[in-house]
Amino acid sequence: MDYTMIDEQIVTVNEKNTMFHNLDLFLDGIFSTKKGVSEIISSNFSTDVKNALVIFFEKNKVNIKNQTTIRAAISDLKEHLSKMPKVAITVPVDLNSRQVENIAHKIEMSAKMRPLIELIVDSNMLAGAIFEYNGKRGDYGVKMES
Amino acid sequence: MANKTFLETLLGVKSSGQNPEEILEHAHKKAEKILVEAVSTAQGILNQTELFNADLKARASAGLETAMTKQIATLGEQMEKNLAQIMASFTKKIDEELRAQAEKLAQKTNERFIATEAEIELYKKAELAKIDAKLTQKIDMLAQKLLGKSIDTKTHEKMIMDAVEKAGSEGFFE
Repeated sequence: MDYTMIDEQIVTVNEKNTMFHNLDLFLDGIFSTKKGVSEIISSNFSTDVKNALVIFFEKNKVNIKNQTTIRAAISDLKEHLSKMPKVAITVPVDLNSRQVENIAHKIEMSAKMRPLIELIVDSNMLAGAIFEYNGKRGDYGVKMES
Repeated sequence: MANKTFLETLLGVKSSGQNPEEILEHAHKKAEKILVEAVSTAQGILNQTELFNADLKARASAGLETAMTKQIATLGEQMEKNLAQIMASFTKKIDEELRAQAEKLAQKTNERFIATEAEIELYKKAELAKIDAKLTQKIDMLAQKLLGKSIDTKTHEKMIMDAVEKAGSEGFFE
């Protein structure tokens, strides 16, 4: 399966959780209403995610008329998202989605893996960042002594 | 002389030539006289003895009284002396006890004073440390606010990205 388009859309843990929730809604919609897949996707996801899902189905040649195939694809997608490595980053100020995406990209370039970012804002920090990944903690921040 | 009878010797009369009745009468008178004299003498002795006894009694009584008075006086003096000694000793002991108690009190007061001073010093230090800590915290917060505000978003972003790069170059994400 090719998850590239989805990976590009899902950067943070929150986004992944929202995606999971929406995928569940999507599956419910498919099996409980007579609405078409496109219609359900449009009503449950943002434009970017909707497009990413459409491309995901297309690239992986998922028959969107077959509920079983859709269910299997969604299940694979959820499993893929669950396996994505998580990096918790503590920063002194809140960051916008572009900045978070830049960080994720930088980590991807450096570690050759696409991480899910969990952003934590700590107002006691002065600058820099603290990372938590795979049970490790890396303090690259400047914090006021208390 | 050797020829005098007992009666003649006794009565001072010659028995010969006198009749026995005369002799007896004479003897009787003589005996009576002797008895009277003896009684008189005895009475005198008795009187003298009584007088002597009375005098002796009086003297003894007076002596006893004097002795008793003296003894009482001596006893009184002795008691007074003893009492004075006891009082002096008692006063001395009381003084000593009072002095000892006063010294103890002074010592305890001094010890308590030193302990209280130490406690106050400790409390002062603890309070000062608390104030120091609070002051440091306030200064830190102020510095943090000032410093935090002085770093703009771009600089924050750059510093975060630098941190990501540094962590990556150190192999943190591997």
